[in-house]
Parts: sequence; C-alpha cells; structure tokens
Amino acid sequence: MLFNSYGFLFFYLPVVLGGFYFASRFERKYGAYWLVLASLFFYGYWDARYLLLLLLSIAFNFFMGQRISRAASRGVRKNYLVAAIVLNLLVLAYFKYANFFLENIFAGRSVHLDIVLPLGISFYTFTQIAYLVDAYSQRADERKFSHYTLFVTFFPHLIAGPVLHHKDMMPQFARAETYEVNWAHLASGLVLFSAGLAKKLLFADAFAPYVAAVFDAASNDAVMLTIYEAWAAALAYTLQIYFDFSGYTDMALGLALMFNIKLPRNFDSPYKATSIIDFWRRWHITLSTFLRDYLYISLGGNRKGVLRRYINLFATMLLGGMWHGAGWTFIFWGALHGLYLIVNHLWRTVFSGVRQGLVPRWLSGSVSWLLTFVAVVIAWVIFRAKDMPEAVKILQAMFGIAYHPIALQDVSHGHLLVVAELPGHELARLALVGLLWVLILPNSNRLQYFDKGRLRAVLQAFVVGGLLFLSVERFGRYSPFLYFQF
Amino acid sequence: MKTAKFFFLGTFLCFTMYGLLGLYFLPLAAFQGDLTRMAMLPERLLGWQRVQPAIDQQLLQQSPIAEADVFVIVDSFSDGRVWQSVLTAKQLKVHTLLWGDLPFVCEDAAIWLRAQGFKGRYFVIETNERNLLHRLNDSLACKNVLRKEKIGNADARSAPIERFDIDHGDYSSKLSVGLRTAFNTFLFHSWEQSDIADKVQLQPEVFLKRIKNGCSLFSHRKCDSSLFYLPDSEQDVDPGALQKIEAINARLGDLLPIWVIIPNKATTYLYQEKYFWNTLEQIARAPNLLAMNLNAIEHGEVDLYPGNNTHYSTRGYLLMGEAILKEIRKDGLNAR
Repeated sequence: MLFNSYGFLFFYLPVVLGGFYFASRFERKYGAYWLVLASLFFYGYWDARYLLLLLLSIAFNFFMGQRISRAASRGVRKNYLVAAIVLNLLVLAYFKYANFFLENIFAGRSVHLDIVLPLGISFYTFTQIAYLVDAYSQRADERKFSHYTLFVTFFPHLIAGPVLHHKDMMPQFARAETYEVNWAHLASGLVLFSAGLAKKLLFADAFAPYVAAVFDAASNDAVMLTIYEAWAAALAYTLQIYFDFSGYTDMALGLALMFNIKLPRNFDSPYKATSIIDFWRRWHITLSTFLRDYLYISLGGNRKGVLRRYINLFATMLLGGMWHGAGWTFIFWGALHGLYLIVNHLWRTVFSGVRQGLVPRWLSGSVSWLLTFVAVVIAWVIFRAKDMPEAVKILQAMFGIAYHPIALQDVSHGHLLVVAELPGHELARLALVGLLWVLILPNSNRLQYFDKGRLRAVLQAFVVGGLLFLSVERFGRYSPFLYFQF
Repeated sequence: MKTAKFFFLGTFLCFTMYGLLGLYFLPLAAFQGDLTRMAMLPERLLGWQRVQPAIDQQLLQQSPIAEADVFVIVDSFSDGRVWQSVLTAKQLKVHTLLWGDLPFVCEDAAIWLRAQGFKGRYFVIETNERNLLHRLNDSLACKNVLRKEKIGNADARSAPIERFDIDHGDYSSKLSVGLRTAFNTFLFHSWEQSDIADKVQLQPEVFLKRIKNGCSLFSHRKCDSSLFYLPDSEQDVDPGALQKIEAINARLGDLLPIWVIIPNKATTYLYQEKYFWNTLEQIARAPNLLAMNLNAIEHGEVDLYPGNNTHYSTRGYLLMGEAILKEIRKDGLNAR
C-alpha cells in the first residue's frame, strides 16, 4: 500500500488510527496487536506471498536474538550472531543480488532467475541485523514476540525506513502514554505528513518526466545531449531524489507521531552541506549511522592506522552503494562517495588550521558548498543512469567533453530541452523553487503544529488542508517512491 | 492543547470526508469519449450503446514507407488506422504519419517523401474541418520538411472496441473530477427537465444541445440531446481554402493528392448548410464527406458520431474508408 493512494488516506489511515486508540482504551496490548495486524495488512496488500517471508524473517531473528541474549559465553553468543547475520545476508543476497552475480559470472549467456524483490527487504533486514548486534552487545533483550513484531513491522517505516534501532523504539512501545490520545502529536504528525506528501507529489513527481526524458534519450546511441540538457537533468534528479525520499521520510515520521511514536530523523537539509563529510551527516542519516556503527567500526574504523582507516571508509561506502541495488552504477556511486570522503579527510588532515584567516569565511563557505553540491550532483548522475555508458555520456555533456551544441534559434525560442520535447522554462521555474526550498527553508523535522491561538490554528488548517488537497489532485498518475526499489 | 484538537479534528475529518465523498462519485469520472471527458458528464448518460463492427487487428498494421501504395498524413481521426483497414482489406499498403510528426506539407514534401523511399502515387491528406485553414497556411509558409529521425509509428494499433459498459466505473481519476461530474450530472438532469434553453454550456469548450429525433441518430441513454465541441464553427469553410489546396497540389509533382476533410460533428448534425465540400470535389480529388454523412444520417445511421465524442464511430470510419477507396479507384488502381 502506498502512502500516496486513496485507499491509504481515506480508508486505511482513519480506520487504523481510530482503531488503535479505541482498542487501547480497553488494554494497551490490544492497541499493540491492532497495530501489528494493521502493519501486516499494509505490507501484505502489495503481495501477500512476501508476507510469509517477512514473518519468517521476524520469527527467525527473534529466536536468534533470544539465543544470543541467553547464551552462556561470549563465544557462543558470537557464533549465534555470525550464523544469524550470514543467513539474513544470504536471503537478502538471493533476492537482491542473485541475478546481478549470475549476469556478471555468466556474461553473454542468458542466465536469469525469475525473482521479484520483496518490498522493503533491505530495510527490515538491516533493522533486524542491528537488533542482533545490539543483543550481542547486551544493549537489547526483547522477550515479547508481539513487541518485536511491532518494532519490525510498524507500517510507517516498514518499506522505506528510516532504519530503526531496537533500543530507540521498544521503550516507546512500552510506554503507557503511547496508547493515549495526544492531540499535539496528532496535529504535528498531520502537519509533517502533509509536508511530506506535498514534497513527493508537487515536487518529486513534477521533476520525474524531465529526468526520465533526458536520461532515456541519453541511452539512445544516436542522441547527443547539449550542456544545458545534461545539467538540467542532473539537477532535476538531484532535487527529485531528495524530495522523493525526504518526502517519504516526513510522511513516515508524521504518521508515526500520530501514534505517539518518534522515529529518528533521516535528513537534515543535506544540500546545505559544505563538505562530503557534512553531507553524509545530513543524508539518509539512519543508514549512514548504521553503516558507521555496524560496518565501519566493525572493520576497525580509524583505530588501525591512517591507511586502514581510508580502506575501511572506502569499503563501507562501496557496500553502502551496493545496499541500494544490484548494479555497477550503484557500486560506482558508492566508490565515488568513498573517494570523496577520503579526499575530504585528507584535505582536513593536511590543511587543518592553515585556511583560517587566509580566506574570508563567507568565501570559503560558499566555495565549499558549491564544490560539495557539484560533487553530489555528479554522483547522482551515476546513481540514476541505467548503466555506466549512459552516465559517462551525460557527464561528458555536462563538462563539455562530448556534447551537442545549443542552436541559437533554440535559445531564442526557449527550446532548451529539445531532446525531452518538454517545456524547458517550466523545469527552470520548478528547479528554482526546489533549490530555494532545499537551501533556504529549515529542515522539515523542525515542522510542528504551533498551538498558539485559534487564528493560527485556522491558518495552519488552511495551509495543511490546501497542501493535502493539492497533493491529492496529483493522484492517479504513476508515482512510485524511488527508495522502494532499494 | 485545545487548538491542537480543534486543528486535527477539523482538518483530518474534513479531508477524510472530502475523500470519501469524492471516492463515492469517482466512478462517474471514467470517461470513454473526448466530449464526456471535457464536459465532465458520465458515460451512463451519453455513452454509446449500439454495438460497433469488429475490425481484424491485422488490417491495422502499418506498411513500411518504401512498400506503401498510399501515404497518409492524418490527425487524431485516423491515428487508430480504422478507416485505413478498408484499404488494407483490399491489399493496398498504407503508411500513416501524424500531423505533428510531419507538421506541414512543405514545398519540398514530394522530394522528401521520395527520399524516404515512398514509391507509391497516392498522398492522402486528412484533416478535420476545424484545423484545415491553419494547416493550409502553415504548409504554404513552409519551405523545407523538418528532418525527423523516426518516420512513422510502426507500433501496432489495438482494434477499436465494439462495445463498452457505460456503467463501469474506476478510481483512476482525480477526486475533484468525480465531484464535478456528479455536480454536472445534477445540472444535466435539471436542464433536461426544464424547457428554458435548447442548449447549455457546462464547461468552457463543450455544449449540450437537444436534437430533434435524437434517438434515431444516437444510441446513448439520453439520446434526445448530444454533446458538441464549442469551437466548431457555424460558418462555412473560408472559400480561400480552395486556392490554398490548389497551391499545395501544385507542389506535389507526380504524387496524386487526395484531400479528406472530415466535417465537424456540429456541421453534420447542426450546421448542415455548408457548400465547401461540393466545391472542393469540383477542383480536387476529395471525397465529399459532408454529403456522405448527411446521406448516412438520412438512411438511419445511428452513432455516426457517438454522443460522447467528436470523432467518428467505427461505422463512420468504415464509411469514410469506403469513400477514400472509391476516390483511389477512380484512378484505376485496383485491389491486388
């Protein structure tokens, strides 16, 4: 079930929300059971067959968590942990990477398994691996299967994150106040949800046709892009993926808040970053944190010398890229960000203290922001492209290496997106508003309902109602969330 | 806390009520015809019910331009390749291109066509009455054909539907369209029961008009009225068009142009006193489609243009195809 569907908004959400508070009036556990059932329905609505896989995964990891927690010695705990992680990764690898490996091993031969990627498998697998590691470190010890099931399946985060930690969530599900109506949470949740819905439908989906048209054209051997077209598509995708994923996250956070659950923030205005290190503290924060805590540090982090630190960093980003999907573009994207981070750390090491005073702060800040932003845009081109030749073609056009010259008559007629056969000026207008949003407005995690008088309440009701109405007017078009595929 | 409750309940409940109300009416907004879509009126009132002839999909195949006997430039009337099936059934090979892919019949159109490999003789230029003048003017102003990389759409066309369920609804449209359709339905019934006006405009470009003997012309439930496209002029086509057609014919060298001007629906049913087609057939190879339409109506043809559409029905297309085939045969080209 999609958040941006009539069924979710007008049937599922009112029924589940009302049912949750109604059931909780009798006993808290009824509210929790209701949420579990509703979350399983939410997941099974897409394809009931994969509900079984999800339930098996939950049962297996709960069982292994118990074993790890209760094991007599550290050695036994470690064995359970390794076995559980390996099995989780094998399942993930089968569904997500089997065809990729087969295609690369048997290159030229049509070896292909008919596998459908279960929705959200990367998210719920990583969430549960984190739980197992926490159980191993004795930071988590869950005894109630229903609570554990709710932690994994809670519908706002189930399909596209954020990646959750057991220790952050379980106390919230155990709290009595969670099961009582909190109007401030309901109001703020609705505000956040409407902002997320608007980000997705009014912005991300508006960029989508431009991006698709130019990237599709680039895959045609006969077509050469102009510099303008290449930059327009790259920028449009940069904004599309942000509005899409952060919009989904805002909706997830808003929905969770309506149930008195606070999910961790996943974005913090990432395009305001002034370095790549800064960017990764602001983009998909829960995944970055997961990779840092459970991969980078496990590999040794920065404890084993400078060279090993950079190797660990690179490997972490490479695997982070692979997490997004089975394809060379994702691997190159991860590798590129790994390189960016190494350069960024080297720069900091070599020039720490030198810069201060030599260059005005506003200038160094602006240059740093621009360099970071361009580096991120370049990486997104690789991330979005169908294959590396397509990415290289767009990058070559962006940097004037191989491109189609812009005709004077096209400039005079405003036909600057000839290859897309779409109005270029509309994209320019959209991109300008999108850029102002991401660069000037505060991050949406600061959005909340202001409980200060009736007039403000009415004003906020009009704004939220207007956003919901405008967003719903965009329903009916093909509008999948980009991060569902990961 | 007090205003948070007021805000949440007010906004959430209003929005949910709007959604539920919209969803209740949304199935009304499953449109089959272009006029019902524009007017936002449900098919259960204006959707055609008379079963249309079946067309073998094989007859809708596009022939490569180099093999074609007939090259056709068309608008939306002919993009479904239904009338062309009459020609292909007689073993003629037809290559169809949309206005837009070849925007104009430029000065070098004949040279361009030959350069594309066309070896046939017949060049059918089809346009609806509404767009005739601007297409003529644009063509006369055009020197060179724009070079397109891809010529003609080889995609298979699906056979036109023979029937559809006028009561079938779906939930793919916008909520607001469902609500507006429900409101327009209410207006339609009010208008239908009143004697105040003979015609009524529900949306900017569409009007409803009572039709005398409408139920002998249309098969929809409310057959004593039909939808029409407002910009369709009551005036006859500017006679200046005739000279322009002759000027374009003069450009076409050894190609034999056949002009197919499809009368507007309003011309066929409301403004029948037009003489352009009579004059045109005197000066050019051009089937008189207005006479054909009027003759069909006189002989009891139901849904020549369906009540919900500006375009012909399948029956209408087949009659049009017969008229074009007759025009081709005048020249002695027979079925192979």
